[in-house]
Amino acid sequence: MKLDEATKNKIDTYFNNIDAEELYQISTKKYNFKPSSSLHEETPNSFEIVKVHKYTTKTDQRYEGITSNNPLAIAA
Amino acid sequence: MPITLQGFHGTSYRNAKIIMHSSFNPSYGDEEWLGDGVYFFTKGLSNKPHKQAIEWAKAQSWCKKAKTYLYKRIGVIKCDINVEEKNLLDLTTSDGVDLLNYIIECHSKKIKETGKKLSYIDGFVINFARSENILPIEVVKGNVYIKFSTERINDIRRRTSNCTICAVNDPSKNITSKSIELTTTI
Repeated sequence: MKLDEATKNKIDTYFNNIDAEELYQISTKKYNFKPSSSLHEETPNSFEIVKVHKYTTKTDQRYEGITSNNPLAIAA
Repeated sequence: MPITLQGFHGTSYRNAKIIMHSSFNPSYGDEEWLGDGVYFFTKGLSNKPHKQAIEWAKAQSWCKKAKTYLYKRIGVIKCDINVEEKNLLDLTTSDGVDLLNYIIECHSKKIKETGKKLSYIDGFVINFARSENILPIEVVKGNVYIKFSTERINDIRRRTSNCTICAVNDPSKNITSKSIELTTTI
């Protein structure tokens, strides 16, 4: 068996027609599904940059006069 | 299109004789790997499923508590398992995995509406899909990791599958022949 159009429609119809709480009850009482104890939260689809701090290293005397174009940057 | 799988069921010789004279006793509930049914080793990851059936029976015979074998004589029953392609959930293929994944995806999406979360175990999902008449699953085939005696003694907990097994939900429907293939003594 495979996930063809007819099978997908049958699956979709089932889940569209069943009430969420009813599904929870039959899953746990009839089919032994267990409540999840996972503490893992859903990963966000995007990340927001909150703050960026830039730090530069103390330059070695041998390199004095050379401007660094690559300061060490730490995003906070 | 009909498919025939050859399955090997390892158990005590005594049990094997009972099965030959009567019928198989399916396993129900309790996180069975591929859902409710009678389990067989079949060709796939191993070319010697009959030997895996022996190893399974041997491992199951050992009683950790009493430190003794519950039985010493093993019997392996060979069966022809006939199933239409539309009734076989083959989890050794991407088609089968995609199907199971989709059911879990739809199920968890619906459950999310309650604000609660459930954990998902293949066997329970398969039982659910079958008994709720979502999928007409008669036989399930899959690759699993099974701890035989060596793995149990040495606590080898690999992730790599080492067996191909199948679960037949209704043996009276799909098992068309059975014979005691071999017997051996531990």
